[in-house]
Amino acid sequence: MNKLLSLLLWAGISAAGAAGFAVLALSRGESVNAAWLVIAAVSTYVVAYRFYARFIARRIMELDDRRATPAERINNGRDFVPTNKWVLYGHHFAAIAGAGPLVGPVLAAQFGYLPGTLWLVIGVVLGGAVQDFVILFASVRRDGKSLGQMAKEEVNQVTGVAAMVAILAIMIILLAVLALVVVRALAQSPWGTFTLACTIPIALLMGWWMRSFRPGQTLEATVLGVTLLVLALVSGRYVAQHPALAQWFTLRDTTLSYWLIAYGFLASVLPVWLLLAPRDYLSTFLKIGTVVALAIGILIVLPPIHMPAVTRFVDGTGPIFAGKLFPFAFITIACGAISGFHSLVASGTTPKMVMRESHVPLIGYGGMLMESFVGVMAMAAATVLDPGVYFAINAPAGLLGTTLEQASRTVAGWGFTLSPQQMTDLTNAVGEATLLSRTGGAPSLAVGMAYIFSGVTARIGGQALTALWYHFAILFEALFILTTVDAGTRVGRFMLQELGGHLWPRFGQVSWYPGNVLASALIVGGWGYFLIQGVLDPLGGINSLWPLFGISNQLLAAVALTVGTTIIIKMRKARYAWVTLVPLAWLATATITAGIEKVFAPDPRLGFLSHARSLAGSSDPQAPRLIFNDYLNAALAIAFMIVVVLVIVAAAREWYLTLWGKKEPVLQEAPFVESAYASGS
Amino acid sequence: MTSQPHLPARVSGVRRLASVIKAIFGMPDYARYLEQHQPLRPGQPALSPREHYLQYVEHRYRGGGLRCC
Repeated sequence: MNKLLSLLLWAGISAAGAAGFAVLALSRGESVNAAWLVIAAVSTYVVAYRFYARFIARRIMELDDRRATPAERINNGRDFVPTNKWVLYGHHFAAIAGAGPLVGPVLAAQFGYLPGTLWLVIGVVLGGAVQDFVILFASVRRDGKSLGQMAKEEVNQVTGVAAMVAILAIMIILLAVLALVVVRALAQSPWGTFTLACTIPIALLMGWWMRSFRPGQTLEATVLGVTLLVLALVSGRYVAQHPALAQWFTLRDTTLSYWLIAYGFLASVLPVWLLLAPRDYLSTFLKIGTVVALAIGILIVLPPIHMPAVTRFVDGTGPIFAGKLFPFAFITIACGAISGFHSLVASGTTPKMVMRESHVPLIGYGGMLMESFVGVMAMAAATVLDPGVYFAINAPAGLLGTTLEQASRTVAGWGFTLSPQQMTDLTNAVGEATLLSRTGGAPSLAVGMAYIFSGVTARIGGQALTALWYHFAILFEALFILTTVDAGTRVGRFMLQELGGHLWPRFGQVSWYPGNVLASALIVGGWGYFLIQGVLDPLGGINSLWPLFGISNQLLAAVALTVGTTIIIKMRKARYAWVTLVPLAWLATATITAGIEKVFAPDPRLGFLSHARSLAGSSDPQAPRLIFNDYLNAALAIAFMIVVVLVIVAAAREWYLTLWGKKEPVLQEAPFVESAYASGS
Repeated sequence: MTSQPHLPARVSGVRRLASVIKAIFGMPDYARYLEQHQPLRPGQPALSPREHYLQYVEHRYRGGGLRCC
């Protein structure tokens, strides 16, 4: 009877998912409700978790609760702490979720809602969640070792060093592109800039509270901080309307960039309790709260999607970023489907907190499913906008034009409608000076979120509060991007000091202040350079930097999947190695195709080299700098590809030696220790 | 000092909730630290709340505070 019930249940869930996809794929012309996106995605996640994750856990990993995890064996009350699985699920999700799954799907919506949604769901089930799961498992079996260490020990020395250098380079591009998203969202927006600026004194106050006033009272300080943040958000409207104050907070994109660079440097050299830790608490609170609220909002408002399933821009002529559906949809979505960066978290703090091996599927595979769900919601928020509005916000000024009339004509030329009056009304409703060419994804996502949230507040009986919700959404994105920027700068500084310490031991001492300042300045200078490059780029910066970020992130995922495949083969489970080999093959193909196109494509909007050639002999005083940047970006893309090909070739050699019996596979797992939990205590 | 039996159930419920939120956010949990201090490091004096907070955040953001994308 139970078996029958379970069969009916799973058949029902599968049917709901299939129905969701059928509605999404088959509707032509009429609008589809965003709820179908949610239904299709969630049913697929549930089925994949129940069947595929369990298959991997049983057939490959042979998870064993009698085997003590590093958290149990080492339990030092600090980083190795056995943690309840649901608590750790929340902790892991908070660590992997960031701006990537929000921005990527919004940009990829230029192809229509269908390609992005399909990749978010299929990519996570077969790729992203598998990667996080396998790396978390491998790290739990190895005392919580990092991806770089595992690459060194399980594959070879070259792979380990290549992975370390690649991670550092990727981090610099990541920080630059995320900072660019913030700059684009806040430039010329006094309300947004004021609110974000307020987070700095609020964080300092919280830091003082937690260290000196009421030592260790972190929750109390966070509640205080969030209250002050809401106050800052509400008073931002008055600042924006006050002529003198508004002038203070109306900043140009270049000015804002220099402020961000200065902020990143300070956050890296100041003690963590003062700025970084309190900012992290604030942003985690806002992140989890907003994600939950957005899911509820979509279910209450049930907004119809206005974007077509597939747009004409699949041919590569898209205004937001150049390039065809294959490979660029995959590079652009990146984090929501598969993110190489997660392999760093899955081999960082999380494996040291896993209490029992049987918790690994929920945390590794399940945590990533939730990340993909955030991506699906971002896709919903972007596609409930009128396509004309969506393209007017996201297309760079160089293509769109700078006045409403020009924008309206350009958008009509793309086959969508945008009435100047509609755009003016929307701009006034969200309380901004302009919404044209606010590239980077964040403003259009914020308009979509404001639409959903104001639908909820209007239903509850209050006013729509569109302007407040818009600025709340901007604050939400900017706050946790800045948390990534300051934590990332600091992590980068430690990595640089560790790498540099091999050449100059003094530099490697993290407590040596001049070394700290020098390493911080180098990291900030690195991402700051790319940030300024993006801000000054006439094509909007996102067009060159986001694909570069996507390529680097996906290539890091390829490194992680290569390490995973090696471990599976060395576990003598080669017959199941397709679990990581299939996503690896797809990823390597898509990413290297994208990399080659970004470097060599003859279209100057797409290829770095042809863009440089198109500027040769130009009388524009900016041309030499733009040409230099094109060559720099091309060199970086080529370097990323070479590193990954090296890693895959080095690993393939190990696979060959192991499979053909020329080398005895030696796994570097920690020895088996009987768990005390297993005996029921 | 494991479950603080002298506290009314509601208070210990609130504490447990605070402890869960702290764990999800990656915040230091001094009460939990005190509970574990004796069994883990017998004979050593416990840190003050301030020392514990500073040591915890310094350690956490050394490289493990990585936020993703």
